[in-house]
Amino acid sequence: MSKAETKDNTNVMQFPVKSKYKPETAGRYTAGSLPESGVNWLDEVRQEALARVKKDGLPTPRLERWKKTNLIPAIKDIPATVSKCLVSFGDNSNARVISDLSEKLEEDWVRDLITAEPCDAAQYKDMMLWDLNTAYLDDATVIDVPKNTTEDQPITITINGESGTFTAPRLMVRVGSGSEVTIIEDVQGGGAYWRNRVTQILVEPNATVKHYRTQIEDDAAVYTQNTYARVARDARYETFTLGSGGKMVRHQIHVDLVGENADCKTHAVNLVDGSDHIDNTYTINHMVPHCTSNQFVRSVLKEQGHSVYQGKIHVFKDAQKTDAYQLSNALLLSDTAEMNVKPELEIYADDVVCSHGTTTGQIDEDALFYLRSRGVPEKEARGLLIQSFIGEVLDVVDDEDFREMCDGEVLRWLREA
Amino acid sequence: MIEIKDLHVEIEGKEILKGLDLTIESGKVHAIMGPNGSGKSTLSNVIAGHDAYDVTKGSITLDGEDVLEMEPEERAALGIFLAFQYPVEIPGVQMTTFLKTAVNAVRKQRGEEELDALGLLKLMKQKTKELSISDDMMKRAVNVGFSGGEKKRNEVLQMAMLEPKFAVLDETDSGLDIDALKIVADGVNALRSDNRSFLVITHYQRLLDYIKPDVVHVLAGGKIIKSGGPELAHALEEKGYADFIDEAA
Repeated sequence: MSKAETKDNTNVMQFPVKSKYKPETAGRYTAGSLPESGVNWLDEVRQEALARVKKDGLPTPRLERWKKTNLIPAIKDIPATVSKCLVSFGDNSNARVISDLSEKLEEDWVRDLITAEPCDAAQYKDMMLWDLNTAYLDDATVIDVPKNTTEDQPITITINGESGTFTAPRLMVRVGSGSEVTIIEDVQGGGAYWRNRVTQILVEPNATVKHYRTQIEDDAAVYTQNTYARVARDARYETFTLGSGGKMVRHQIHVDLVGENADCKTHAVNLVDGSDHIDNTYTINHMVPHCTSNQFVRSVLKEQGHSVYQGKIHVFKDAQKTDAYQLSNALLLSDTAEMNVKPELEIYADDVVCSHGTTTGQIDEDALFYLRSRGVPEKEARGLLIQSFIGEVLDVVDDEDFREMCDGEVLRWLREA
Repeated sequence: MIEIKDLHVEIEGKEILKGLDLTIESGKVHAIMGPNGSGKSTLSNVIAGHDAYDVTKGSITLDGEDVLEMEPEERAALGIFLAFQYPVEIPGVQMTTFLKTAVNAVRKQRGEEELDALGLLKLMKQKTKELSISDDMMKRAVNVGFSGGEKKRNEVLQMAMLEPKFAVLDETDSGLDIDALKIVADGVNALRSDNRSFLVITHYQRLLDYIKPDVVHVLAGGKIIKSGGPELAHALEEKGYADFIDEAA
């Protein structure tokens, strides 16, 4: 008998046996009846999605990618029956490229896109909320920009929801080869509701999509959005999100770079106060050589605000000459605010440039004193420093009206500080 | 007129200034010279209102108004200006935005009408030209990527735009070559007037060849130990501080 075995077993500290992961039951969401489309294949897609929701449930902090974002308590008091949400378009949006899903059901690309999944999303268990959206797929908008067209005016989509509702809006976009478009999603509202959105964007070869959004809500709102962009060769996908407020917010973005020389930028500014929670979780898949990606997120937090940034860059074995970068900077204006950052690089190619950086800090007191010594009152000086911190990300936005909207929201937020 | 009386200042419980007295009449230029650690930078920071320093005793008044009770921005509005030894870089804030914000903040507090964009531009153009400041520099973020000379010229530019009654130059000569020093000194000299006084803090007599002081003080151990005319600076340069400190002790 060896020495170790003679030891009294009761004195040995043991790791607790890990219980098997049990998903949060999605019972409330699977009890109701699904919308009927009268189109067989669509009803099947819904049924299959619902079956997965029943099996997999809803994400909880037991999942690696949901560790710091606890959705379940936030949706507890919101009814689980799906309601219609109010979708409207800006006056200048080109109506010819916008349709309701029902008008587009015969088109192959729409059918394909409805069931398209980001690469490895199922493996990351990222499909739960997505499936929940698909099961209730009804409120859906299709934007189809033909080849070689440049939309001079942005297509602006406004999404509103009533308090006490659960909605599942879907947006599906195809931008044809050589086309350029700016899509603005303006999500605003007040009240206790849950919007569980899915937005899918196909960027065809040599096309450019600028996808800007505001998500401005009060402190009872729950907002989850899965955005999936598939970017073909020589195409560019650029997204910027201004997140301001919300009890529980998750902006999840997947980008698959599937053609050489594809480029994506995923940028965000978060303004987090009260007991708000804003999570940005990005996955960029570099699947082929010579693609570039850039993530740049800046967050300002005060009071008990909580923000999460998880940025994953996955470089596939064949994706040589990848150039990928991510940066997260957070400014904490109170001792009780919290920022959680998880950069992740998964690289299987050997000739790539990938890097990440992250900082979390306070207002630069030297800069503050410098400004005050030049006559700028303290509150204004703080505001100027915060604006300049955010401004470096906001500068990527090149639509003047949208930029103005963002600047306005930043000023409103600062005034309340 | 700035009057500093029996000023005692501590930082983190350690007394740095130990009863400093200094009076500068309007229109006069005084210089303070002193070895490292004598309290030169403490004095300039306390005048500007840095909150890391505790004033335990004494007073500072500008034209009879109690400065110590005021916030830094109020001091700026009253007419106090500190040209920093190490001007702070502020990424993301463009020079023009910074100057516009500062000038109008001060004008507002002084009860003057705020300048519109055109008025500011005109003022900026005039002052930058006098100080050989390029348009390119004005497009950059405050002090970001500026050379040592550019940073100090930028301090003088701000001084020119804010029109203080009393300006402190904290080791403005440090890190400057002779050409940059001349530009900065010319800028300061152009601002000399009957209703503006200066306190020039420096290690070296060299700066005082260009900005000629009316009075020179020697600061050591937290007190002014000797005062005299410009010739005092030359004597210091020749003999070093040690003789003076011994003499005072």
